[in-house]
Amino acid sequence: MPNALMTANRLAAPTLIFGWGNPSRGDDALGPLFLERLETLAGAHPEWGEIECLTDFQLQVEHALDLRGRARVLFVDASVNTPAPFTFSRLQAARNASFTTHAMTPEAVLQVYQDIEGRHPPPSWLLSIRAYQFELGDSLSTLAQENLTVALMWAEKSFLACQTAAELPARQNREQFLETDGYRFHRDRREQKAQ
Amino acid sequence: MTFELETAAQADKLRRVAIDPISRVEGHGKVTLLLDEDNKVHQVRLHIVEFRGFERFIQGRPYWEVPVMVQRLCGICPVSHHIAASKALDVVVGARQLTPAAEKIRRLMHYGQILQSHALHFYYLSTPDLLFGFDSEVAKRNIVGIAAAYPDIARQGISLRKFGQEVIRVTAGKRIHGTSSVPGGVNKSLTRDERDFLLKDVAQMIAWSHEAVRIIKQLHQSNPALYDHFGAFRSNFMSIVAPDGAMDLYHGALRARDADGRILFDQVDYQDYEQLITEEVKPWSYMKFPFLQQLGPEHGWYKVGPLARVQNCDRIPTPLAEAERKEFVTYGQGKPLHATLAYHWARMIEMLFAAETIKELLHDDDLQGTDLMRTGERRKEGIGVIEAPRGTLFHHYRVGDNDLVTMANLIVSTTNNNQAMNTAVREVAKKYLSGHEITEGLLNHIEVAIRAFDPCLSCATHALGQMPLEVTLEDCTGQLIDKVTRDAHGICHA
Repeated sequence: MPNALMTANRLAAPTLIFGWGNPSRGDDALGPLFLERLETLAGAHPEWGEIECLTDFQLQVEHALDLRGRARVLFVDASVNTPAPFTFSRLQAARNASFTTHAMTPEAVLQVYQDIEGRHPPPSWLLSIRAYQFELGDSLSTLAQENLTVALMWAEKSFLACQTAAELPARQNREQFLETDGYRFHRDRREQKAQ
Repeated sequence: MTFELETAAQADKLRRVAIDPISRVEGHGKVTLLLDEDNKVHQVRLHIVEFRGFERFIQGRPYWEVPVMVQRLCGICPVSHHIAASKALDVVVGARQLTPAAEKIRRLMHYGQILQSHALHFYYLSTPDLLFGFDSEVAKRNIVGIAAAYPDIARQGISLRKFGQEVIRVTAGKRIHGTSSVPGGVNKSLTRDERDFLLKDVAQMIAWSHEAVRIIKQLHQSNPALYDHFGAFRSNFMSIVAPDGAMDLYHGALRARDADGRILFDQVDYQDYEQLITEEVKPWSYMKFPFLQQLGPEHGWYKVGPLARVQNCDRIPTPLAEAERKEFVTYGQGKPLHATLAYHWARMIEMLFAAETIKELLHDDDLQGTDLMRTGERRKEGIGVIEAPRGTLFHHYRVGDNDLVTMANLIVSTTNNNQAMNTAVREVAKKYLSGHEITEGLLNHIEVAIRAFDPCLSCATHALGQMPLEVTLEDCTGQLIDKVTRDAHGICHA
């Protein structure tokens, strides 16, 4: 079915969007919430093609198998180490020690895929949405909500509107989006508010 | 009751080493050792610094919330707690006998859990030691190292775990923290599409599980001096078994054997567990030490988990696993195997049993049934027991007339194995540590012994394959000689 978000039937849709985080820990919910809102939008956008959305509390080794048969993958996470409202970057497989923790990096997941499948992983990107608070029981902060909205708008106009990897010049795309589409983003003021 | 090497004679002169755990809530492993002037071991203790807050969190909550709440106890086996709590509360709602659909869906969920947890335990946490060596390079002693060096084995392990997670997702609603098992039954059945989705891969999972048994069997046969003796010690066994004595990891009655394999008790209803088991408290550990009342604390402690179950049952009701069980028993030449590393062999036999059982259940049309719930005479108290991946798991609740839980008692697998794990660590320390300087390889020998029983220490501290662990050496005056600490990132600090 075109444009179906196949969270149930496990078929390998060409586009995988994987958001992770703990919904009970404030802004850590940004990844799962991104997927939740995307699912509500997808029905109106057949041009996005088939998309599968997967979410989990954390990245684990076995998520490497979710990359099988994909044309492209977008990882979505909350981050305190990224400029607001979000950053977008191309991922490469990398061997690191993150597998020893509950916070395996997407690069390490790609490396596991490469090791066990014996081939390069599908083209993959990371969408990091700026987050501010992670306490257990916290709700999503106001700033994170704004960042989530902007990230979703960008994804609609950019990542999901592009059908090939070549159409995604990552940094330019983000900057152009923030400057030219009316999303004047007053980073300094927002950072001050966050503090 | 004090065991050999549990408490040194001059302990009152020794300085107590205080450990600041990374996370008390989620658990922390610590081993302390006391040595004399000749570096002879006098005391070894495995401390599980575990805050058991859940038993209090649950009090005052409505009983129907409990099967979902208790899944937060464990990141590796939340399904075990989900089902054990449901079984206890089945008794409370008067539904000890579930509908066929409900019981089979829960069974499928549970065997999916066994499959994914055993795959994690063996492939992710143990093969790095077993295939690379206990003293091998730290940097590659992990699942990612296995993926690089043995991609086929890693692919099989990761795929098995993933398949088990998919069984859980289909039956419980989510890969982790599912919601389908409820007091009195389940709230969803399987669609034919969901069944077919699992069926298409199950034959491959059986084949890979069989291959896993072959791998561990070959390791035993290639180095019996290590595999038969590392951390070996005699003890009783306990597990539940089916009414006919067959292996059943979802439901049954309690059976225990002594170290020679003689039955101590059999077919005891687990609702009466308090008449069988007493928990001893020791001042140096947060975790209790259970023992069989009829034998007392000195002789009544026991092993649970795969090594106990495979040798406690009379047969395994699936053909491939039963053939492997017979070979396992033959290897013991008529006597129970007590080798710590034999846990892995038994574990892989159980994984094969789980894969075969999943296939049988998937062919059962009851999974698509619509009669999912039972109720009956309301009771104030219920006990649920299952064989969780790492051993017998007890959930015990009392519920008031207002439906709020008034008492919760949980005896988890790790607790049942507490004395056994301490004994294994002492055996390893005596053989490999006494008189030697601590090295990372030594540290890993201790961890290998613990891990053969229970990787939940890793799980509870959110680490895969690398427990935060501290080993200290003190002389008989309490002077610190040496200390090696491995942090949550697997990095050792001298």
